[in-house]
Amino acid sequence: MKKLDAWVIGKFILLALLLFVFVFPLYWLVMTTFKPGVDVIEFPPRFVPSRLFFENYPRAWTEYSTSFLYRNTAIASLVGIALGLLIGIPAAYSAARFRYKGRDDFMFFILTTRFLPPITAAVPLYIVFKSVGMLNNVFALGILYAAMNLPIITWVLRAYFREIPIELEQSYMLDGHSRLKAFFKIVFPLSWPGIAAVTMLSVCFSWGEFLFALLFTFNIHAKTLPVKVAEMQGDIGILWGQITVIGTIALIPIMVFFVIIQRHIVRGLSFGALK
Amino acid sequence: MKERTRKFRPIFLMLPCVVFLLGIIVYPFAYNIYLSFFYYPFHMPWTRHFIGGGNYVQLFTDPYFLGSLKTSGILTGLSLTVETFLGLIIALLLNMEFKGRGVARMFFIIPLASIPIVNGYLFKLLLFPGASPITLLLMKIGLVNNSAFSWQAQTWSAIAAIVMADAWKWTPFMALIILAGLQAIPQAPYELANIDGASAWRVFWRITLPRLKFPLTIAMLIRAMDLLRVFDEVFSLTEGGPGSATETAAFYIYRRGFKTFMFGFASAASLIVWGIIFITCFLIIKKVFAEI
Repeated sequence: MKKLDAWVIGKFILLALLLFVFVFPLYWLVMTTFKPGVDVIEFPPRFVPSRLFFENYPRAWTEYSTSFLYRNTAIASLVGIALGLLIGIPAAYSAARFRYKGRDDFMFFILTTRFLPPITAAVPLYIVFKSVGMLNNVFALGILYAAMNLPIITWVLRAYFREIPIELEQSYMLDGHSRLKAFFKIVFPLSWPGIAAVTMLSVCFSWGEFLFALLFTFNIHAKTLPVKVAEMQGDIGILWGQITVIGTIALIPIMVFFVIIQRHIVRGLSFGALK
Repeated sequence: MKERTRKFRPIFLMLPCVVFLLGIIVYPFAYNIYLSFFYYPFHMPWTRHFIGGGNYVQLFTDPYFLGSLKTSGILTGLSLTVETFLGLIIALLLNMEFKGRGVARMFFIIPLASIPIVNGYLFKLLLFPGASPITLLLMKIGLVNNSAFSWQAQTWSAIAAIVMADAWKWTPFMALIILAGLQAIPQAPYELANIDGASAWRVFWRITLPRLKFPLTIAMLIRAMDLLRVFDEVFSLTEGGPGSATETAAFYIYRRGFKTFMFGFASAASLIVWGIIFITCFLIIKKVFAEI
């Protein structure tokens, strides 16, 4: 019995240690926002600010029109997720439930679109977007993000739909309901964990997307948070205060979102392991 | 039921997605193939001319390109190893029943929300020569003897820095997927093993790990795909340095395509990268997904 206790205690010590390792950079990020400039690069490193310095926040908010950056990032991400789900859910459902010629090839093709380094797709896409007048447009960014998200959405959701017993739909349809109705009444309500999981991953990919946003947006009408961050490494060095402020306030909405959906996430990512 | 579904074609549900992606990707892809056969400096478009496979020949003899492929490979291998190992440990720990498990899980998830580019800067700050808490810790345990140790000055430490930044953000992703896989394992085999008095180690190797094969593969596949194209963290953390030691394939393409404006050359390079990722994923998927 004694040996077992040591084992359990050891596991909790390891957990605490790992938690510390993963929370520490976060602490450093948030703590730096409250440091006066001279504290940031100092030896020995300062683990707490010498005095609490709040000016970084109002400065970042007003000087960089952060509210606009926020809005742009949010719209682009939302379009990316909504459009991705709208197209991705039917595709995933079709691949999970039916057998037809070319199904697996289609699924693999969807995955291959994630192989090309975004930097390469950028130049030709720039030409296309320019010719249809969609540069510096958050919705255009959203469309690109939808394309980026689709491989994850379709692959994760296909695995998830497969876990839902097909008999549920079949018996519902035997009662005389259409397949569409069966999907919305039976499959969809059971799919929340899967949808929550892909939404979370899509948010992670779109919210922080940098390259397309950098190349396709020019001003406050469409610029996103990550682009602004990259601009803060200028001739006078890196503006640590501002970077960490933007990094911190960019985290907040995503964190709130994670808290709301986190109950579902783990269940939704099981990739067919339940079958 | 046959009658009802007669008009229904499942492929119609698939097509919007395929058509949409084709619309987005086909032109860039075709454009790249076309351009890859040209000498095309963007700032001097009048010098553009067809050179056949010239770009490809030049690429395969360019030590910087081959070096960047190697760097991408090393970075992908190291990050994947670290992330899988830590992710597995975290998932196993979070799979225990204890008070505050939800809160612990929440804290582990937060790094996933960070913007990659901020992530790079954050680790640049955490490793800043002379002001780094990490260097300070390594000094305390005697691994480093200089507080001004520069992580960007040597190849191994610059790569370690990128691995750290990447692992901080993406280990939670790995842990989440493994945790989901763990929670899907039925209790029965564990109870049997308990009766037999099998050791925890043996239970892990014989019961847990084999059942994690599928989630582990898919998580590693997604990560490998993105790691082989990694750009943001390199851009903000090391800018490819020292020299070109941490120049990944994507960063090489960026440098040739957008700094020296050799578009044709960059196109050829990215097609090679695409091909490498394609072959890797194709083999993995054929092997693993054939079983389901």
